[in-house]
Amino acid sequence: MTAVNEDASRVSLLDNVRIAIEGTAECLHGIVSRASTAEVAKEVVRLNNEVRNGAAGRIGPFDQPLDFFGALLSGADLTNEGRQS
Amino acid sequence: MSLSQARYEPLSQSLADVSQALRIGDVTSESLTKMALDKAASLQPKLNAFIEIWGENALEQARACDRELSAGSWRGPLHGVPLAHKDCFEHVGRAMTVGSQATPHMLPNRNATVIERLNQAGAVDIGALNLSEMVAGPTGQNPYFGDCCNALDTARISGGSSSGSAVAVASGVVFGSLGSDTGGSIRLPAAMNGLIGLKPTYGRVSRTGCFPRAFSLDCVGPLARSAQDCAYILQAVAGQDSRDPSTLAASVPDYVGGLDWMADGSRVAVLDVSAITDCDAQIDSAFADFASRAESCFGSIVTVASSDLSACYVMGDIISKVEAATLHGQWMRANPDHYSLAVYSRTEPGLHVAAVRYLESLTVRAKLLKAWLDGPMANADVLLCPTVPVPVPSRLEADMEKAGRVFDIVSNITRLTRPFNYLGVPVLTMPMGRDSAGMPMGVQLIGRPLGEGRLLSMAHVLSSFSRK
Repeated sequence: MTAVNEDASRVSLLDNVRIAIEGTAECLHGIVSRASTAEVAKEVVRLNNEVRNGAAGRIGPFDQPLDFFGALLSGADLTNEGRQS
Repeated sequence: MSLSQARYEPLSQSLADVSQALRIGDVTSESLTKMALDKAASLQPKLNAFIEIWGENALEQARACDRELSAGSWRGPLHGVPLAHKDCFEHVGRAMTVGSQATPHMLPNRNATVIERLNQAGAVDIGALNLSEMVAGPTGQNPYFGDCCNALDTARISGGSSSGSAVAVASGVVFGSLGSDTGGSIRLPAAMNGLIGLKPTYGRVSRTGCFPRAFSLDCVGPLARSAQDCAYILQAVAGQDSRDPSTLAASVPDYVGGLDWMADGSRVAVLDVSAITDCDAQIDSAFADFASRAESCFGSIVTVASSDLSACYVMGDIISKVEAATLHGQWMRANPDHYSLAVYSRTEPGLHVAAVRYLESLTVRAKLLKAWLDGPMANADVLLCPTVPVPVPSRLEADMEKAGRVFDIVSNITRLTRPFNYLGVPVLTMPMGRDSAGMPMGVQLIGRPLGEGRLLSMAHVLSSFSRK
C-alpha cells in the first residue's frame, strides 16, 4: 500500500469509528459525548490497534487473567528470605 | 541541643526522630498535632493541600496517644505521629469526596483497611488531602476543590493524583501520607515535590475502602521525606487482608530492620527508555549523574532494554479506561456535568473499546511479566529510569481542561510510570537532583515482585551517599 493509500485508509478508519461512536454513545451507553468525538475515536483506534498488536501471538488456549497472581509470587525477590535472587 | 530548646522544630524532623522524641517525652502527640494543624491551616490558602482539616478529632486522637504512653503503652514507631491521607480512603462516618462532585459524598460505615491498620499503629490522622478528581489525572489539577500547588513553586503543578499527599509532606505539615497509584499517582507527585514515593507490588497492600480508578492496577503506598519514613508506614499497612481478595499470600518482611542490609549485593541496571519517550536534556544529565552514584555504591551497571514497554503502557491504559468506565458510566449518564471535561473525556473511550482488547490485556499480563523478569531483569535486581521525562510543568502548561489537550498531557507525563502498574512490580521514586528552575527531578528504582524491602534499602543507601 502506498503512503497516500495508508493515510486514506487511516482517515477512513477514524471516520468510521467516529461515526460509530456518535451513533452508539447514547443508545448503547446512555451518554452524550462531551469530548470531541474525533478525539475519542482517535484514542479508541490507538488503544485497539496497539493492544491487538501487543497481544498477537501471545495468547494460548490455557492462558487466563488469574495467571498473573502466580507470576507475581513465583517471580518474587528472594531478598525477603535473606537470600539473593 | 535538647529537644525542648527553642530552635527545635519537630515538624521538620524525620519520622524516626520525632517518634523517638514522642516516646521519651520530649514532645507530646498533642503539641505535635497542634503544630501540624496550625501549619496545615496557615499553608492552606497558598498550597490547597487539604480538602478538610480535622482539628478537634485529631487532637482527641493525639491526647489518647499521650494517655497511653503515660500509662506505659507504646504501639510502635507511628504512635502519636501526625499523618494525613488522600481523600479516597474510607473513614467511618466521614464524608469522602474523592475530589469530585459527581458522586454523592459517601458516608462510609467502615474504615479502609490501611486506615484501620494505621489507627492500630497509633498514627494520628489530621485531615483529608486534596487529589485529582476521581483519583484520575497526573497534574494535581482539580476544578472542584481547586488545584493543589507544588510545595516548592505554587505556579507549577503538584503532580497527581495524590497531589495533597505529596504537598502536605513536602511542606512539612505531616511526616508521611498514603496515596494510591494506577498509572503513576504516587510517584509523579512524589517526584515533583522532591520526596520518596513507593508504589508497592500489586496485592502487597490492601485496597479495601480505597476508592478505585482501576481495580486491576491500583496500589496503595506511602509518600515521605526519607526511605526510612516510608518503611515505617509500609510496615504498618502491608500484608494480606481477608477483605481484599487481590492481596497476596506472602509474609511481610522487616522493612525497617532491612534498610541497612536488604540492598547488599544488588545488581543494578539502567533501563533504556528511548524507545518509548525522549527525556528532556536536564533529566538525561541528572539521570546519568545518579547512575554514576549508584555504580559507586553497587558496582558495575549495564544498560538493558525491553521491546515490550510500549505494549505494557497501552495495556495498562486500556485496563484503566475500561475499568474506570465500568464504574463511572452510571454517573456519567446521570450527571455528566458533574465531571470535568478532562476526566469525562479520558473515561469515555473505555465505553467504546472492544471487550476483547481489554481481556487480551489481562490475559497476556502473566506472560509479559515473565518476559520482563526473564529479559531486562534476568541479571538485575533493580532497574533505574527517570520518573518523569520532562521538568515540572507550570499549571498553565499542564491545564487539561483546555479542549483537545488531555490525552497528550496524560501520555507525556505518565509515559515512564504506567508500564509498571501493568507489570505489577514495585517501583520507588526518589530525588535525583534539581533542574535549572530549582525543581526536583525523580528517578525510579524498579524491583522484582515483593522487592519493596530491597528498594527501600537501596534508596536509604543512595540518599545517604548523595548527602555526603
